[in-house]
Amino acid sequence: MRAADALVREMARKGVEIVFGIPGGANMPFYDALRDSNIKSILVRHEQHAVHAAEGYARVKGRPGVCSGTSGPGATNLITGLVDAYMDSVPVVALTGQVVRSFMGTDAFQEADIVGLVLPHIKYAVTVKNPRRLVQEFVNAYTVSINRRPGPTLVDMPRDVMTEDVPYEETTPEPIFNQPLPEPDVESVKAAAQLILESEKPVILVGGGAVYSMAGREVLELAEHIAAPIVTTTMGKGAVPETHPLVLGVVGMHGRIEADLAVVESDLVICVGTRLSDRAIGPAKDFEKGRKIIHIDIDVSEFGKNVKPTVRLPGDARKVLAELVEYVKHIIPRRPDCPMAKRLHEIGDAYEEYMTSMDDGNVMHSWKVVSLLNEILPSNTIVTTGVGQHQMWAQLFWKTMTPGSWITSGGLGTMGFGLPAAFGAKAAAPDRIVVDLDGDGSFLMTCQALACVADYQLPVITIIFDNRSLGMVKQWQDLFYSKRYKDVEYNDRTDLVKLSESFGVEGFRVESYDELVKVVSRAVRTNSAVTVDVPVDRGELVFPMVPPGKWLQEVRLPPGFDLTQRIVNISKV
Amino acid sequence: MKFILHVVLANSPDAVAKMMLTVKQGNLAIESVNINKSEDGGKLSAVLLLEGEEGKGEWLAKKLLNYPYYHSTSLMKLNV
Repeated sequence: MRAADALVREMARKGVEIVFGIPGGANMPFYDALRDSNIKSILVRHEQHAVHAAEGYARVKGRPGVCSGTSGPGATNLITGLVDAYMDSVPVVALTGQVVRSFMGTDAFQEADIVGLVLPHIKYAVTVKNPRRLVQEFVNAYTVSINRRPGPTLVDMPRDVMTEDVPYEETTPEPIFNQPLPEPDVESVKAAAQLILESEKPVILVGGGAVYSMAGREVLELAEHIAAPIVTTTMGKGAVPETHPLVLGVVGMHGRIEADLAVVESDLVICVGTRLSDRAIGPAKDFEKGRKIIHIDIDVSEFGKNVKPTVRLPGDARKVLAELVEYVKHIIPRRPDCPMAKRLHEIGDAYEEYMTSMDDGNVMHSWKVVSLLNEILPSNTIVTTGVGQHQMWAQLFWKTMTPGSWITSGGLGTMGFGLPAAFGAKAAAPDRIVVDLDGDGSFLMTCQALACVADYQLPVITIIFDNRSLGMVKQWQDLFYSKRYKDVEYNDRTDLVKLSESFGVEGFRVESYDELVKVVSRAVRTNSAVTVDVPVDRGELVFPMVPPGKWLQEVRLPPGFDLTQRIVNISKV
Repeated sequence: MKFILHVVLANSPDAVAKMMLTVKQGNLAIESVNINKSEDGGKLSAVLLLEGEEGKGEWLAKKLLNYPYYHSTSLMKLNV
């Protein structure tokens, strides 16, 4: 059979259900082979959407998402999505067409060295020149995308490689692509348990690694035993249910005030599956000062990259935590209460009360829109976001209950991520409600994905926080560039409702919270796609905000909201 | 800080390119790079003399092993 047929057969054997992509001259044999298989191909409108959709699919399913593009521009359009997947450790396999082998290196039509272009931001990329290696390279790439720390891979396939006849045989990955997981030594686990024993104010900081390894139960078991508050990174949101009394929410630049203060007050931070980015913890030297650090991570190169841990525990978060919990239970009696978490929750409640008190009813507020949606949508709703102010409001006010239900571009911060990712998530979980919380700036970058929502009857609810501006950029110009606004405001001409309807998705512009609730509730009830244009306060800034380069303690609160007295109280806890 | 990194890697331009790109990501300066084909011809052996922040050598040696182009790395810190 043709190598392309063998590839597709092996993909089916691996359980690949969907390929998001666009056919073209160079990947045509692959699409021709797909035609005879049960693998569904979804025709997106831009290859960037294909990767984001594959990311959404992967994060819901916990298995690689697959996407494809043809050679040259088809492949280069994948790059933003692949870098996004790399930054957020999402398993995605990209299959690209390439010009025929004899044309490679001749600047042929639609020739681009896609492997060379993606190399800095990919786990593995290869151009397959031997047809007999095609299936093997796919299996290798598929395996390595989920082996250890997940990430994107790419298999570049010259057209003539795909059309040569090869024998098909079931294939296993070569050993280097399927390496065993690192494991902590017993002494390190004991040392970590000892640090916990000695600490008075431990805090657990949970990252995306805990989501991927489904470590929520173990995180809660440890937290409840030692009475430690839990904070998450943006990517860690959903690892544990955010309504749990010990969970304080997202930490960092636009974190919950109670989460930021928890880290400030801590004498030990147990970091689980996080790369400890500046966005989450601020300057490493401040984070390291005055507290011990236990770092659990499957990627051992993360130890000491940003923060020097006191104890390092390599391995899968769930397995390492399970082992640690066992040791901790042996040496530490269960601590009954966590006054620190209670006190910090009071501060969080005060922040929300203050926000509510500032709502004069004249304009719609993004944070209130998120709060309302949180009340009316099912608890297992999958939420995706674009990037910007609306994303920060969402991470502040949306309560995620299960892993894989919060899908956002955390590392690269890719505007336009939300809608195609929502579409991919809906393809992975057609029975769940999927909502894209988007900004008007982000939405306009990938809104053609609505065509797929209509074509494939995978209904996504898109809520556009419409402030007719690049809100977060404007916020920075406001705070750090003396309000010297430049190129951040959009005109009012673009009709987002008509735009949505032109793609076949019903659109509404709502002028009140009641209307919003009505439209969204109906879409949920009927499982139908809808785009809701919500005109929100154009001047509202997102607070809390830790200025870039500053320590979490220097968090700026909403103007008029004074926490001084409460911070004094906290230090006495 | 200066250090020597020995890497055994796949015999492919991609593997060499990614190694050097990772050196760049570590903000490391290159003093010298020697790359030779191994005796069996299936792999390359690279010896890199690099200079950079403390800890970056260790990071590089471990980071490379995340990628299936690299079979082994060993690091030697130099007291210069």
